[in-house]
Amino acid sequence: MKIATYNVNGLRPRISQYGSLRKLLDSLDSDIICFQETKLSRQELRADVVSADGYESFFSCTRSLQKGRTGYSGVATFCKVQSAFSSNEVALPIDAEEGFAGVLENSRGFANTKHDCLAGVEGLEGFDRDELLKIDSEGRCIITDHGHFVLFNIYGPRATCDDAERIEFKLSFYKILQKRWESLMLKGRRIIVVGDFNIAPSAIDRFRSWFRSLLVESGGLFTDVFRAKNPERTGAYTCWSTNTGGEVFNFGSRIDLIISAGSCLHETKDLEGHNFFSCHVKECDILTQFKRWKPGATPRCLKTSTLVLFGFVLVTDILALRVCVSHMNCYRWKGGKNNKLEGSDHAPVFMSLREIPDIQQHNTPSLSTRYCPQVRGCQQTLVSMLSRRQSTEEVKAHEQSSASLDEEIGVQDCDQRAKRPILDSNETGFVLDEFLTPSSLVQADEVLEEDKCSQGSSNSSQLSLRSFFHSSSTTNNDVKSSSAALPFEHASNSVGGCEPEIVKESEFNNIVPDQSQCESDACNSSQTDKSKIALLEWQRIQQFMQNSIPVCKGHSEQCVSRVVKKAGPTFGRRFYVCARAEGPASNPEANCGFFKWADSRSKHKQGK
Amino acid sequence: MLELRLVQGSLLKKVMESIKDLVNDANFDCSATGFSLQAMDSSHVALVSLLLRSEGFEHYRCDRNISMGMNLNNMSKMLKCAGNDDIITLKADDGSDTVTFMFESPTQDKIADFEMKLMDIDSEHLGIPEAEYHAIVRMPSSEFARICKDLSSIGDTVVISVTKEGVKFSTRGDIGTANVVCRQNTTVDKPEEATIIEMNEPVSLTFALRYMNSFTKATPLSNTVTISLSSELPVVVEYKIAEMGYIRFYLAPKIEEDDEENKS
Repeated sequence: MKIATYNVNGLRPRISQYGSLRKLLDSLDSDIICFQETKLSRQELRADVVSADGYESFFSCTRSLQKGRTGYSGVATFCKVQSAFSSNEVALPIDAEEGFAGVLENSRGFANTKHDCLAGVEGLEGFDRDELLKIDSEGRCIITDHGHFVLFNIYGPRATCDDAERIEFKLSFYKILQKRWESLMLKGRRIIVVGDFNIAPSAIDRFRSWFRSLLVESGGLFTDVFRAKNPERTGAYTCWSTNTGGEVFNFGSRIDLIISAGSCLHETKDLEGHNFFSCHVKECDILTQFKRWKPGATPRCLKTSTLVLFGFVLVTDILALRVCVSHMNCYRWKGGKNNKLEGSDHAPVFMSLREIPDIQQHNTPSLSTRYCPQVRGCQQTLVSMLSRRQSTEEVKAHEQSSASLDEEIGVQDCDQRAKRPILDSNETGFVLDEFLTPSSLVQADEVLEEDKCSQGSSNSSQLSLRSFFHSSSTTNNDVKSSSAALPFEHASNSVGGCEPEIVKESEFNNIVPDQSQCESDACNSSQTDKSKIALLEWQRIQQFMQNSIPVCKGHSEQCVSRVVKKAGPTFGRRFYVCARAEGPASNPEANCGFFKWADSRSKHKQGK
Repeated sequence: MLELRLVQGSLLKKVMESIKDLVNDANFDCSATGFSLQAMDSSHVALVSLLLRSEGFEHYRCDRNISMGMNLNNMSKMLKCAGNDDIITLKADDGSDTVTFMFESPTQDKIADFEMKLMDIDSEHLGIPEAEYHAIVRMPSSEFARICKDLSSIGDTVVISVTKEGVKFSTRGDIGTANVVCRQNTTVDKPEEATIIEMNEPVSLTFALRYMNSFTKATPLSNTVTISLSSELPVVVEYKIAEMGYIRFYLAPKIEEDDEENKS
């Protein structure tokens, strides 16, 4: 049995990346798949994003209407099952719950009768109901009870160090979550928690120390499954900052975690060394093939693709200001290609379990999106439409026969009966699906993909002004090219030098072509002098334009210009930083941390 | 002392809209002959040159040459507060660190003053040379804007080729290719609808559509656009501002990547 967790960074983009939800799920090859950051609102739960043949799904979406908190976060758990009704598979949960504070059930509008094993949260009495509601309203947790264990799929809140309100939120999120775990442990349940914790192992803050305190090593009850299985592994990251291009140098953090607690299923479970982790976890690893950055790429591509990463960059500059790119940098523009890195900025983590026996017969919990009104009621697939008439007939017949039965049982029964034909038709729908997305289409996509690559080399790239200068000089006669080469050398000198000298250098450059201009005038007086002068003049201008961008200290490469987006005294100011992707400080190839304000500053501030 | 009174206030608004996306901050240079600006975009690839001659202003007083550094986004914010029919007056005292925009409604019943802080911007004035171009295309500006917009939904770059027959804009992208040919056409009712091609030799150059598209933000300023092309020079996309001057955008062409690699 395999459990995978993947921060998809938007379920829709991932679905379109793989062609269909089913293909995305199949690519993870797991029995239980936990997604975080689905970025779906409840209104968007349509059949194409929530239901895939062979999987039962459970969604939690954000309900918060707070600004900036709509259509974000959201978690989903997909369970691969043979049959959604009356199954003894472990993957099919016995029960499921949205949120962990136990306050959301009623808002879903489902009967709250079967929740004896999950609901009735103990230890939360001290909390204000509104606070619990707030914690649960951002779509950050789905709990599924699989009999042998309870699986938490969580998306931990992200809080920047200067955002007191979110830090408070994050604290109570984990505090309440821990209470919930403790109450389940008291009942003797085994717990597996998977998801994006947003607790970076490197960061030394209270969240990290909280996390440490959970672990067996520090006297807690949980095991960090990945670390326990791969104690020596370094560079094992699951998330890379798109902001700083961390994927290029594998400069990331391991925030997608799987932790487990509880006893093993053996009869001798009380023996020393027996627990759920040591007896049942076979392996745990990061699915690095899902990484967007593939190391085989050529250095040239490296440049062009990192650029794209810089589309919306948050950088921490020396003043620890958070700033954001306002302009595409010149690299991207040299590349001229839109080779966006496809995929999530996270990589999935999986854990495989062994010796997990089947459990008793049970049905799909009512939280399944199968029963969600948007999926079942309003928006039907075409296939299920076709079988609608048949099923309604059955329902009618059933209603007549079961009119005297208890209402609740009747509804449940009816559900099952009505579902069967739909399920059958889903099977035919599967064939239809296959038909609708023939492999030829996929192949065509691949061909296109290849085409793109082959185009890459023949594609034109934005001529940097220098190379333009270069190319035009070669087309000229000898006198010209020598005169043009001279300032070029000076230019590279100034590149190595300090920025304040740039202006002087370019002034110097200014003189050189002027002299050569006279020379060439003398030599080729018969030719169209005017265009030559213009040409030289333009070469000088372009040289100047190019040289007026500062170069970074670490690599002597041109910087990128960005604008401060954070409110404060420096808001709106432009500055230059090293254009390279961020990496470990030990790697000289990575971002060298160069920073320089652009020249403009407010006159007022200077007291002029 | 500087005092410029522009009856057609909307013109200044349009000018600002056309360059504020390309340029962050820039120096406005005022002299006895006129009001001008020269600035590069942030990646130093494109160059903007604006001239509003003194004759175009109802009242133009500039005692001595002055250079005012302004953040164009902030300036645009201020000018957005002016009505389209308003008369705009720019005022600055010598040595002051602010500039004042005064908006008068046409009926003179409302007068608004906006004072903006100036910036110190180090920038060198580049003497842009006059040049002979291989080909000059004059066409309706809206047509050019439409072509750039359409092509950018398909590809990143546009190849502009000028032959005797006409001017061809083509692009290629993941989903396919596109070609738009505009033939020389001088037999139109209105002169601004004409497409006129002056060509000394055929030329074909590649440009980034991202930049072309930002140049076309100047479309409201003029009914026609003039595109001057030479294989060795940056392209000039010029919008004439009636009776006042022009706004010109300069952009270096892209070259084939193969060539670039061979050289480096």
